[in-house]
Amino acid sequence: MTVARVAWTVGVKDLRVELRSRSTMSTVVPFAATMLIAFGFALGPGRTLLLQTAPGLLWLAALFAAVELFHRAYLAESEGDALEGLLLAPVDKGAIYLGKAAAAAVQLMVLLCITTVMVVALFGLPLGERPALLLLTFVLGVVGLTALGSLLGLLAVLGRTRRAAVPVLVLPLLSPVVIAAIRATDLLTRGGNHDVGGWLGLLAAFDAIFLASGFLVYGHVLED
Amino acid sequence: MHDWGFVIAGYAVTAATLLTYRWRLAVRARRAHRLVSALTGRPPLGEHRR
Amino acid sequence: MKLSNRVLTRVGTRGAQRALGWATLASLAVTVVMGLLVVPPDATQGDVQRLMYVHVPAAWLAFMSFGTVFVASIAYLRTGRIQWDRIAVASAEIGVQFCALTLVLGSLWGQPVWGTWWTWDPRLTTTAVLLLIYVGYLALRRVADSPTRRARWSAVIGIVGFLDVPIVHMSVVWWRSLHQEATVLRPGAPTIAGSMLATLLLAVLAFSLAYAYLMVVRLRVGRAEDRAAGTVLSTPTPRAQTPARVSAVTVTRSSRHA
Repeated sequence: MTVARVAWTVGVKDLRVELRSRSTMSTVVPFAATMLIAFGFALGPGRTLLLQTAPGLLWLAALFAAVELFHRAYLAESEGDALEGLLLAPVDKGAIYLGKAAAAAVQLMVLLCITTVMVVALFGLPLGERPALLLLTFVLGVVGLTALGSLLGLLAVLGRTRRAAVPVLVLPLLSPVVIAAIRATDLLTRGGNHDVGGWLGLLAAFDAIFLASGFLVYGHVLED
Repeated sequence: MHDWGFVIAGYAVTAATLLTYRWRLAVRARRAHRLVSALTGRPPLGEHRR
Repeated sequence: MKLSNRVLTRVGTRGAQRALGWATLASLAVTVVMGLLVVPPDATQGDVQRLMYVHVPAAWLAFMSFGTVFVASIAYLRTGRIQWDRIAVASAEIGVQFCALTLVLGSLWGQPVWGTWWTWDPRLTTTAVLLLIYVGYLALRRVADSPTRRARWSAVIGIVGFLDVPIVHMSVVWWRSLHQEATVLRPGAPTIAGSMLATLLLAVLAFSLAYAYLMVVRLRVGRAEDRAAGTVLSTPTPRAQTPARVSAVTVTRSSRHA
């Protein structure tokens, strides 16, 4: 089977599982909502401060919820001992990574869109006049988060002590994505004609580098 | 004169970091050798050479 | 591999290690004397600038250590030899020491010069993120449950983490340039006196020696700890051991030869 077909099979399988059980979305979306409310409490009801920080809060809520999402993407595999199956499957392990990452990216995109609606409603964030670029920012940011997230999520379910070290690694490793995505979102929602090409380029570079390195090293993490 | 306080503190921190790390390594080596000798009954490696 | 092995066994002898230790100590002592007493104070910053002779080499060595982790991690994944993993973790541990030291020294320098312990300067922020990545690397090693798993996971993080560094730096530089505050005084002025440069080079040499020495010692400790862990696994529990103590000893002896 080609890489693309394996990735497609794995990705569609993951999405089908999620569509039938809704186990990830039902925990991750309320989690993101809770966090937004908590941010509101921390910053107080002043409209201007909330508006200024809204792009950052949006991505932070998405990031923290994403950590849970990446973990859950592998939880089902490890609980049913399905990881053994993935391990023994005579296919390119990198293709499995791409499939799992694609499925996680779709879910994260849904989560991010829901979170955006909440931020718009709660903090009054305007979406700006360039929705296409904003959507591109979201896509690039989501791909960046999942490129590393699906790699680290696997570490969280393997082994005895499980996820202890993963949250420590996620934030520093993903800090370029967080910075670039927040800045680009901030510039795009602020109105006016700010240049976001540099930030989008940075996100694209991050995506390319970490998708490639994830593809190459995934087999080393999965094999046992 | 005020500045010298920061300079001295900086050099002291550097020395303390290097020495503490070296000392911790020595402790870890000793502990590993003791563990091996306690489990196997052999004399600790390295201790008879001192 | 063969060459590196030969170098490692040569360097790993006790005499060589001790000589390296003394050389390190001597060069560090000369650096301190030069940096504190011989070299004149900086024209604009005064005596505080003397912190450069420890701050810059520490930062440089931290970066070198993480570069070594990167190379050793790739080598481990390619060859599967445990030596590479030992080199990677030894270098990561020492790098974390140097990196933390760099941040503390930067703070001590920043307080009198910039009037604050911390500023969101690109280099400072990158260093902080770098420290967090490798603290996470070491934390991951602590929770892994088998030596091969530990080696493989941490090699992956060693590679991914180092690839991340330039991107982190770039993102932080741009992020800062967007809301620029008062221009901060840069460490390392463009014009640098000859004696200052000489002292700085000496300091870099001294710190490199310190790195080499700590690496040799740390590799030795790593081997000893691995041997101890192996002995724990191959030795029967005390209750089972009492009737046939001798057999336990022979088992470990023979497993060492294998």
